[in-house]
Amino acid sequence: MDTKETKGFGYCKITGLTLNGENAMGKFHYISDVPNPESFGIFWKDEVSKDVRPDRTIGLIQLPEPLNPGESIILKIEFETKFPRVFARTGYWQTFFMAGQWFPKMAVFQGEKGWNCHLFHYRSEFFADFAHYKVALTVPKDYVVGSTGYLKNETTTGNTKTLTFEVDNVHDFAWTAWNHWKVATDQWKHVKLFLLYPPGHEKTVHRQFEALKAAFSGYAELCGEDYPYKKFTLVDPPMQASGAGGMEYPMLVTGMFPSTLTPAGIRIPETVIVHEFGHNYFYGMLASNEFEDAWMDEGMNSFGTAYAMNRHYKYDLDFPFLKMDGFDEARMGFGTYKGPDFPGKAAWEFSPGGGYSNLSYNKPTIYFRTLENMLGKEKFLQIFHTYFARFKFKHPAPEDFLGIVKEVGGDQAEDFIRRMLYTRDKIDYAVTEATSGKIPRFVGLKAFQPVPDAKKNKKKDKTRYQNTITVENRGNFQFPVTVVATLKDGSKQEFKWDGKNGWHRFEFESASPMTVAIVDPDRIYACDVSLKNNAVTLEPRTGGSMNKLALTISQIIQMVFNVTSLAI
Amino acid sequence: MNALKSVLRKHKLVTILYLQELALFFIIFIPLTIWFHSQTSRNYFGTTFTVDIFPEVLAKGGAPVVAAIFIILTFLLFILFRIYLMGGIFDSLMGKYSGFPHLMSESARHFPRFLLLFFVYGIPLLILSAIFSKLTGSVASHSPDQSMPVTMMIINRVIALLLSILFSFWHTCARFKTIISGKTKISFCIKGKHFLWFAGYQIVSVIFLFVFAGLSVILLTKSGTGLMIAGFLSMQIGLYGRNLFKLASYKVVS
Repeated sequence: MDTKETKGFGYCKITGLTLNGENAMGKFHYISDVPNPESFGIFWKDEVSKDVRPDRTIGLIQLPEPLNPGESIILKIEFETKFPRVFARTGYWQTFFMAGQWFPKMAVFQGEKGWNCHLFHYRSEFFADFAHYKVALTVPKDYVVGSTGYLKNETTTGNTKTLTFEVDNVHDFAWTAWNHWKVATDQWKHVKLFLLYPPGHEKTVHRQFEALKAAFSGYAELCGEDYPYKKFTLVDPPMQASGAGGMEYPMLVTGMFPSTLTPAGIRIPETVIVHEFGHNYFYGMLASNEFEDAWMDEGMNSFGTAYAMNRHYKYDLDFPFLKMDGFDEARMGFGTYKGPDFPGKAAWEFSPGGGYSNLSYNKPTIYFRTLENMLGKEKFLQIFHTYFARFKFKHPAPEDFLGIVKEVGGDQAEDFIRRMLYTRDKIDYAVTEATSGKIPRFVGLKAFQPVPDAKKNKKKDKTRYQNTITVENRGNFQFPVTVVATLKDGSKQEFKWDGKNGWHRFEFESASPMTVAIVDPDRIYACDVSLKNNAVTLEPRTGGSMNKLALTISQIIQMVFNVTSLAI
Repeated sequence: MNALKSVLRKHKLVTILYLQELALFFIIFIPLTIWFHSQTSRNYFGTTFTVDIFPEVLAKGGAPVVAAIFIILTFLLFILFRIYLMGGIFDSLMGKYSGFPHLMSESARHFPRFLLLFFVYGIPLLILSAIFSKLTGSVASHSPDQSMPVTMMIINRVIALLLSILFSFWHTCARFKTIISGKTKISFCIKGKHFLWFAGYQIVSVIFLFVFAGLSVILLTKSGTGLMIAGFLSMQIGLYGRNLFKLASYKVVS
């Protein structure tokens, strides 16, 4: 590659190859260089588009003869990697290096299905096999290195040092090196925690470790087992290399701390740390195919993030006047999606316009939350415990998970998750009408008789109200739902509806008028796409909040205008 | 302190300036309140006010676009009217306050020249602020020390404040000279003692505003109608005080 071709970009190219000790470079070809690459059946036909073509991100080694079951070969691959200026995930900034996806990775052999490997798409992530890694890194002596694996050996020669890392049972290896790294350590049960942070972030160390420990505890509860490795490294990249932030690798993840001024109530750094750590379960150990089934790592992990954050902090956004948890965020995100897709697609099959992120992350999060509410926490956790116990350090596919949902949660649960994955079916319950009026009293001859004063008060007490609530199921699922009417005297009346036949009307009498009718008051259906229509309020109770919100916004504008007119 | 005493004697000028800010508040607050209430009555948000209101109500139906256009137009009108008012206020600061109609007629007389002066001093101030912002941003982005962006941000704010005060001083001198001569006059002179008093009053005015605005935020985060009203009053006291000290700084130059 000439300078023009690589300026500002990175690359990884094969410079040498031996097969059982003999030079085999002649047997190596980039897929872009072979005629009719589709014929190898490595990638899917629909992957090729105007923008994505077979390129040098996939290489083929053609063995002289088939490798039979039980036989083995030894491949030695020499490669050269040039890091790009950090844009996304990997690269350098000044003397900072974050190395991810930096070496040629073997495709995953799936028996009868053959080799699983895909072209490089803008959205898709990765898929690799578990292996024993031994990596030796030679860096300048004053550099601090963090990586996947355990440090086994360190030697110094002149101005450089060589660090050797080893680990079993991981499917990727990432590292970082910088002469400005500062190191903090902590402990979670059997796991030694390392935090590599840039100068100036000293005051964030406690926040970052707290989030990391919350993640360890939350995912251990969700998956039923503690993180099994004995070391974990959290990398807090400098903001000038923020593109390296928010990425997961086995035993090492990168967080993101946008500013030392980030208020404690804005838990974006915590959410990123928890999410990226969570990938050590949903990607690291449950190594599903991220190309083909993004929801299996991003969706389950986004649920895990909201679960762990909710468990430790309660809210992601936590101010006295504004509170929001991860499930709220996911519902609000998904609520905006009006496109044609569903989560059960390969990354490149999503239509443009935000479908991939919204459906891979947000939709599974709120549907899993709904499932948790429907089944109860114990049974719901049993699904994830079984899934983890059965498929850790394997490559589970969607049917593996759905099978467990059916086995533990039953047919309805399995149907719910399957329709979440492969249809656009949604839940939307609504109260379309609520009325409350006095019941007219029958006026007969007796009414003309003089009534003693003492009895007049009694008559008032006998005033009755006729109330009606009309609820509608605007979604595609027919699940039972609770409807609650709140009366002016504070008492409540609860009704059950099976969710069938489109709509239902409840009629009841009460001694006090109805003020509010609400469907699904406990938010069992966390994936209900619109909360706005879940209630009818005959006497609004949030007027004070509205006034305060309007007042605050008006004062902010007043302040901004005043400060802007400083020099006038 | 004489300038402050003098302005206190002409407190109606401060009140007029403040009333513009109060009018701005109501121009925003009244439609916003009506709209919020119309969006929340008879539905979920009338029952339980949650953060869902943002995507469900506020982010739909083009409301943000309409709001942005409304705020931009209001801002332009606010600035123009402030420039307009300053003609009469400066005139009154030099002599005595002769009633609101006189102030308005003087405002109208000086408005074209004051508008020109606003651009003469406002545009270079914006350009210089942008240059300094770029420079401090560049220093921050090249340093591995992550506290540097915060340091540079503080330096940037201080520079912007000092530049604003400097340009405001020149602007003020030019406006008084313009009123005296009846022609548009530019001024770049600095008289040490006057400038220090001017800068002092300006800084005090900003501090006064931020202290009361901070108090307002604290009060508004508490629940209760009484505290909400107290939060509103705190902010308005801050704005009134800010205008008082601001006019005192102008009086120093007169």
